[in-house]
Amino acid sequence: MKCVLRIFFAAVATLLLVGCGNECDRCGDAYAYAYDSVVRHNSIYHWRTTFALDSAERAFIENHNIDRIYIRMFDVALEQNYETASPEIVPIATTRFVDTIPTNCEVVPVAYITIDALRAMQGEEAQYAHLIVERMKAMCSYNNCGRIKELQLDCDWTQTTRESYATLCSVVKDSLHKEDIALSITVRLHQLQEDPPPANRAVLMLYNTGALKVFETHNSILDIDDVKPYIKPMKYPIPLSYAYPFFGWGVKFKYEEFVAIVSAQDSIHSPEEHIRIERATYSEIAAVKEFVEGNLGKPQGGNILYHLDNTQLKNYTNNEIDKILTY
Amino acid sequence: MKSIKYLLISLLTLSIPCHTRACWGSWYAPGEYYMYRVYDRNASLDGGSSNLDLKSQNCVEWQKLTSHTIPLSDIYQVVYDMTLEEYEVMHNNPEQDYENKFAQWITKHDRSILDFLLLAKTNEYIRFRINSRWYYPSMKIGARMTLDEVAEQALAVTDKRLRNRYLLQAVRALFTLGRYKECIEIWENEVLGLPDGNLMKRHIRDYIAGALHHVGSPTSVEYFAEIGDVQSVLYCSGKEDVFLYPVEALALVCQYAPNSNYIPKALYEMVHQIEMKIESNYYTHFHYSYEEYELYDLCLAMGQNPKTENQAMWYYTAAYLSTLIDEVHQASKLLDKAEVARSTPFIDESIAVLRMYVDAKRLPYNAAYENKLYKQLQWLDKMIVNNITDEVRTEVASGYKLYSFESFYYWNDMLRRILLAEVCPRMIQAGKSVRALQLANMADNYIYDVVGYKTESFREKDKDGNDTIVIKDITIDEYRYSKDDFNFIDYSNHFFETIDSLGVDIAIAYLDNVEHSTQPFDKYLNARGYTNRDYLYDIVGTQCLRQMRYGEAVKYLGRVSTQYVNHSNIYICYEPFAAAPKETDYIEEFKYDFAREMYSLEQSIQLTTEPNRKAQMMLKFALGLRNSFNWCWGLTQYYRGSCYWGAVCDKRDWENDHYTQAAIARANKMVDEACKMTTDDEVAASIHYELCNFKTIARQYSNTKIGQLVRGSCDNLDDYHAMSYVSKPFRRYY
Repeated sequence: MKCVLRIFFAAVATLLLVGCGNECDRCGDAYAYAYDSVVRHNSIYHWRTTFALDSAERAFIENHNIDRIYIRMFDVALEQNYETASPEIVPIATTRFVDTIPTNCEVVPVAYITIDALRAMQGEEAQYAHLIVERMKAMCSYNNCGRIKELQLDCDWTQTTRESYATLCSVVKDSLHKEDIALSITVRLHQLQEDPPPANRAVLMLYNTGALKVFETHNSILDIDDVKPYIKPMKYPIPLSYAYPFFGWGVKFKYEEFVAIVSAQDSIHSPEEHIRIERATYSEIAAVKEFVEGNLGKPQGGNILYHLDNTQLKNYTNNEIDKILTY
Repeated sequence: MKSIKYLLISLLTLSIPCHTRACWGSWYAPGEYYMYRVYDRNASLDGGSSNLDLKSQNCVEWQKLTSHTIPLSDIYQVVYDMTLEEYEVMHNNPEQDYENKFAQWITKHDRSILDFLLLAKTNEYIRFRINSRWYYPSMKIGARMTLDEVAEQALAVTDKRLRNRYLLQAVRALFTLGRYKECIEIWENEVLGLPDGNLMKRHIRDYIAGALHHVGSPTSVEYFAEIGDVQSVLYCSGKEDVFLYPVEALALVCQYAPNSNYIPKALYEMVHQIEMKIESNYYTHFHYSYEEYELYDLCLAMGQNPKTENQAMWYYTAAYLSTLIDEVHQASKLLDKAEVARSTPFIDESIAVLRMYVDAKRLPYNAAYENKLYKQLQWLDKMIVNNITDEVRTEVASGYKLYSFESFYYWNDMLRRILLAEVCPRMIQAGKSVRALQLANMADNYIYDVVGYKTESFREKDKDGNDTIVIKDITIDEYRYSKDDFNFIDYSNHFFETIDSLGVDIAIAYLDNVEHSTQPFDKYLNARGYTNRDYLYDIVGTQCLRQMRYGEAVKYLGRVSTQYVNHSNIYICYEPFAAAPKETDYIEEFKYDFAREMYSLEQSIQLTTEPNRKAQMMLKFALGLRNSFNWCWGLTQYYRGSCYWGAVCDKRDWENDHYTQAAIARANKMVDEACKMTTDDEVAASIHYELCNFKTIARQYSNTKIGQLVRGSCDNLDDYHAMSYVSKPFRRYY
């Protein structure tokens, strides 16, 4: 009986995969272009508000053949206008460029869109799509980021905001297409089973997988047990890269209630307090990598480290870093 | 428990005093008109064109430069609503005709203005883009010029008419470019010498404060203080993280710019906040706290500050703050200082009003005070007449604010506040009720005389014979004598309520004063009140009826002209001497007829000795007396019910009024006496029949003709005891 069921499920899965393949075939030239132009890179995220690299960080880039940096340019957020007292969608925390971009590194500008801003731009997605693109391109141009081949949007969209985000991505993608720039999007684990918004590529974020504020959580940055439920054997509709966490922190609780994220070196001041030290170890990252690649295939755009900060990266050996970057 | 909570919350809510808004709009007690006045709230702060905001003032300036035939709305549309693209189209198509007269003018008659506006619009467009939070250097702006070019071109134009406007554009562009020193040079060389009211100078000054700060000039803080930019003052003083109460912020501004135009507005807002706080603490005694004392101390300090140009404003404010907590003697002392301090004509006027108010609260009401009040009223009277505007005239003629006594004209508000809320009550307490009536009359009615007409709607037939509404201006006398209209003015104001409640002797004394006084103050006041004799005779006559003084009622009601009869909003529709409500036809002179009849009966009762005849007359008199306070109440009153409309909300409950009680007692006594007095059973039966005492007839007078009728017609006598129409106080006597 078990055998019959296995055959039945295998048949259904095959049919679904075939159906999916047909669907992708119908997507037309845009996807064909995207697939053709995907080149694997060793990549890293820069997620700070000042682009200033110390010598160790520059050496890290060189030593590990990092040839692409995803730089967060600004967040798109909802803020109160101090003159009109009404909320407005504005760029905040714009990255200040103090240093030049390392030579031979391609820059992928990233804009993080808060969920409040996404909700507020409903019906006006096209207007904000143009503002976001125009500003990211201006920042790249002004700061000599070189030729831009890819631009990334990062947003923790959900079912209720999916349509609005898809509209935004669609306008961004169309405007970039004319300039031969690909749009990539971030994909969180809970978004993996959904159809992706219109984009050429995607990056699967394999970090922040657990419930940060829950006292019982073992490791909210990465826990393979948190990853497994979301990942099934499948072929994602657009080329997928994987981003792995190379950072750690402390999560402070008081009376088992979440207080704040603190540095891993922080200490408690009373017996009621507790700091959960979290860091994804190499073995954990490697296990997740093996599991993900086993189910979703090798990364089509390469692997990405999160994120460029020597105080964090120094916790890993060169060999460990290279093994994760290997595709 | 829930309902108790609800009840408590409801009671708390009810305890908050508020201006009730019914269909008449806000209701104000005279004491609630706001008196404090340190700047013209209808004028710009810098003394520019009054009643206009900066954009409208700019349109007026453009109108002066072009043509007065161009509507301001056309100018506004071109200057503020048109986009840069539209300007470029207009600039590139000189042959195009426009319906907008300003657009037509600047394309056909004066293209130098169009050149300027195109540059200004380009400047604004670029600056808007750059100032957007989405802007990042190197972003495409989409304009045909750069800001440097805008500044260069603006400074190159020497056309005297437009020079100041170009300077503003240059400063705006240079400021955005961070070329602050050049901004300051323009200010010092070309702008500083312009009059303070100059619109362009006012605009440029705002940028100079910032420019001075950017170049590290210590004078920047004075400029920021001058324009009331407290946050920038704090920033320049290194106190940006310090929490300041508004009064402390004001003190900081005063420290750097003691004569800033921002100060009067800030003072007004602070004092107004205190007034509102007092209103919301209506039922609890209000005490000044830290902020109020700080403000008071600041006023005293600034009053003494030699750098203060308008010291009187500060003493005046301190005096006003004292009045808010009833420290009128202190207020008077501070006003003494204000009256001799450096001042402006505007503040002098405010001081004069406050002086009137403080005197009214403080001085003994003797001849000396009356003399002073006379002079003060003459001054206030002049202010009312001289400052009246078309808006005020229109509001008086056709608006509803006077009916509901909403605030709308400062000088008349102050007349009302001082006289009605302060002087009249104290005059009555001092035994000078006639004077109180004269003052109340002026407070209520003078503004109608000043305006002199009413705008009313009339229903008329058009040429096709259809009903149509026509709006017409009529004289105030025509309005008062019109048979078509309800008189909204004369039977709901404070004067009426006062004369209607002080008793007929005072009303007669007032009438006598109106008719015979030769004293200048009396004549002055009587000339400014509504002293139409028909109106006053009707009031006095009606009060005589109310007090059962029928002879005098005949005298006064007999003087009311036939043109005025029945113009006091009331009429009666029942026969005044019927035992039960019996509808009657319209009676034109119902008060006078009734007074005559009652007076005649009163005389006849005294003269008649035959008991049965006397009893019948007594019964009729008693019925008339009762009815005049019951279903024919229009004979003795002008309104019924304690929820009456009008300005004075505290209406009397006539049914429990002592005049009513006295009248009912007299009527009942007369009925009792009449019943006992009869010697003829037929007469006695007829009296009881009138009174519906069927049981008495059936038992005591069954052998009379009426007794036969009652016994033959009634199965249950109570069925015929028609009590329903008899008001409660009377029932026990039937």
